Amino acid sequence: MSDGQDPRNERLRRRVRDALDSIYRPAPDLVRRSAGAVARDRRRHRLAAPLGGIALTAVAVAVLVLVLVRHVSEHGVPGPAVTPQPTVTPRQSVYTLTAGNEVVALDRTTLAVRWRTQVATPPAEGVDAGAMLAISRDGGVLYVLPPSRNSGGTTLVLLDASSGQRLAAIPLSASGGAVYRTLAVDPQSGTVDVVGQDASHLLVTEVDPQRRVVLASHVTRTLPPVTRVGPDILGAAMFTADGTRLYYSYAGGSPDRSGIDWVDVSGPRLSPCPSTGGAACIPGGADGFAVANSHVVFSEGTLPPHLVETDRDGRTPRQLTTGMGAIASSVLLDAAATRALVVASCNNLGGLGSVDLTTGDARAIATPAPNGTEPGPTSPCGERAAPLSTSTIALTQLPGATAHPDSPGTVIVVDTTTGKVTRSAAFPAEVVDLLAPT
Amino acid sequence: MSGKAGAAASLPVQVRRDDAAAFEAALGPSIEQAHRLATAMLHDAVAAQDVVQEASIKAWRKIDRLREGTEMRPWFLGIVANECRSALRSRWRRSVVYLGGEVVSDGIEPTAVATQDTLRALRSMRYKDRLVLVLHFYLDMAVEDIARVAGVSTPAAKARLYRAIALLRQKLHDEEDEP
Repeated sequence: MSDGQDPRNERLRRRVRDALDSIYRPAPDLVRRSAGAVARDRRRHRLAAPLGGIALTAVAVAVLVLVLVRHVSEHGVPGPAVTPQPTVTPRQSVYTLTAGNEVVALDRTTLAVRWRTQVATPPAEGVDAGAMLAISRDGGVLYVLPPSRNSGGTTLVLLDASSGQRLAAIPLSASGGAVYRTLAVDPQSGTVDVVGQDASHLLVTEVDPQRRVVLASHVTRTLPPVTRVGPDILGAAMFTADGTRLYYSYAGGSPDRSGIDWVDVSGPRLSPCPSTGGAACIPGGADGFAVANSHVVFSEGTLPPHLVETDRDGRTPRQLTTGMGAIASSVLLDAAATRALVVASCNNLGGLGSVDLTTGDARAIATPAPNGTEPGPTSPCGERAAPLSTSTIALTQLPGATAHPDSPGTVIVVDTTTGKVTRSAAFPAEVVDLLAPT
Repeated sequence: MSGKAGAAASLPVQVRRDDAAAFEAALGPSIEQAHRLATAMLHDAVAAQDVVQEASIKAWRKIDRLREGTEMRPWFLGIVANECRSALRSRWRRSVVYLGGEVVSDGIEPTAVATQDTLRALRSMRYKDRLVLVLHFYLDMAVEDIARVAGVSTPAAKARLYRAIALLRQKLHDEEDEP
């Protein structure tokens, strides 16, 4: 815009300014009043937490005593909690979980191994890639949901993010039966919400990581009777930035049971989304989704591959081409939520695309490998993706959707401007998930 | 893929959220512009001050998650703009309908005809068009900053601004445009 060269714009500018100045009323004390409002809000938050904690503690003490007595009688006296001694900034690391249930922390730049911790015994079967890692709000604690089988696990493991030291293992299902497969950290409260299923329901279980207790479990969907196809496989969970809504994706036994559900979070209350006829609240989002501002963006897992953008309730869907030739497995959004980076799976032969969410323009950054060839360590493809910097991402390469504990695995770093693989790291087992704290 | 590092008015990494002085240092310089923005979007002096205070609370809750180097002003004004949008959605309950069906906000009494025409034209525009016009003409913001406040790319902001200017000119029937 060059207003100085266009006299019409300058006249319009004066007219707009004069009109708006006529209704503007200076408020010289507004800074002080806003600071006061902020201070009152902070005091309310500080007061609410301990009051709520006191009430919960009173109820939880009796339960904890009973659980502890039972645990000691079965396993002996548990060791003391270890105070973490940070040696490395967690935000310099990228964390991976292998199909052998080992967490490996890598240097974000060199992919050199910083530490490794075995968090559970390896499962007997392969595990579909999914979001089983999360990090605390301060970046100090890594939360891990190691699967005991493909449908999930029953323990939330806490590791010191700097050293890999095991801090705690929190049982998630006291009554048995439920398995958990994905998790997210509430950005407001710091609570860890783990999403799982039992024979008849999808569940969201809230865990207080500070006190290391399960706060509550909520049924969020009643499942149809189990069919011959198998149980639902939960993929990923994600909170909105304000912590008022938790989205999670799942791939059910039939197409109409695949998609994204959500729960609205208001203090201790979780309200599931309304479902029509048992279908997912946002159908079709089982393969990779992202949430930003008031929009949900996901891949439908179809060919030709495209993204779907909806409002926060799954309405007004807008279909966007991706410029790629392979099914998208991951969707990442930039900080302004104006551009989506789309990663294709290796099994469908890979590729990388960029979509401008404002204009709908799509660009293929890297095209899939030709049919009949196998993607290799220089192919930009993967099941799980994590941004490392403004122009690089890390990907878990898998020949299929399932990671196996007895097959070697690879994590690659891809330059998102060129689509070139710039670095790779080898693992003794295939990698199920990776996380790069921002 | 993350936002560009800003130059001036970016937040130090460590901010003590409980420090009133820190609030005034971080957001204080942006309050007047925020107030002008809210007034221009709502045409309601009282509501504008409420919006600025509410936006301040929301901004302060998020401020320790802000990326180092992020420019404070466009970020904060983006929050103000969103609060204005929320306020506008519920605003019909607080509007006063004068004789003739003109909907005018509480406490505002524009006098000059041209002023009234301009305000009416702005009110009749879609929210996002009005926003870019206010940011450009009233707050003198560069297109890059307008894009950050509006949450769109710079080319999209530029395109929206061009269209909004043309639309406003059409609504006002700019007499100097006629031969």
